[in-house]
Amino acid sequence: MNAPEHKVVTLRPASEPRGVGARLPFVDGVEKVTGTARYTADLPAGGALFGKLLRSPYAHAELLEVDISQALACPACVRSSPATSATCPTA
Amino acid sequence: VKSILRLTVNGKPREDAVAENALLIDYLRDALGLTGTKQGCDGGECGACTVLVDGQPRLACSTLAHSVVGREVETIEGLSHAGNLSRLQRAFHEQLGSQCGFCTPGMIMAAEALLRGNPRPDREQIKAALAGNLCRCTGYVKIIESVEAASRPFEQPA
Repeated sequence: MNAPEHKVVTLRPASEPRGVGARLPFVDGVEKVTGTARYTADLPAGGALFGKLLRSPYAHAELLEVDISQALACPACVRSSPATSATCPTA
Repeated sequence: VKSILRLTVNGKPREDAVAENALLIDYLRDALGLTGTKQGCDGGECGACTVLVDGQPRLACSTLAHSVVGREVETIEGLSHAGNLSRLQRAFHEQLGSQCGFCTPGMIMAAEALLRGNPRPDREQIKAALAGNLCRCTGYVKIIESVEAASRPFEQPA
């Protein structure tokens, strides 16, 4: 996890047990005991877009048209969204 | 509504504008970037957010930031100095007391509070001190052994 790109690895002397039975340290043990290991919730979410998913209120209806003009009129709206069935690749 | 919060975090006096309803964990993680304090259950059940307030373990997820005004708050980031691990951090590393590592900061802070008051606890005392900290990977044997090793630094492990 989050290993630095360049890490100096110290080789163990030949006299120490290795492989099976050896007490090998975790490669990311120091990060975990110092609190610097980064988990998903620790990653900055800067520049993230916020969205709201709108679904059809009708079961098994056929989607004919989506009017996004009101959303686009919103000053904070990013042009590449809203995504609709018209702007998403179809599976 | 924000108001000025004065307190000490990891030895440094601070003065920050903090929302009056902000939780201590959000102040530490979001305002100060001290993400070593983990948000596990967010309900006071798992202990992952354990920090020290005036040396006593406290759940940062269930503590209002403004309730610790003027107090000394310590987090996992405050335990290592200039890259040197604390005795407990070293022991958790060497005794493999950490697996996924998510519970580790809380475990270490709870154990730190224990060792400050009781430098040589027995196993039952260690278990009691860590009773509020849950681990979902290793089980607790390695964790208890880690605290034991930290409290007996000059003895060879069995």
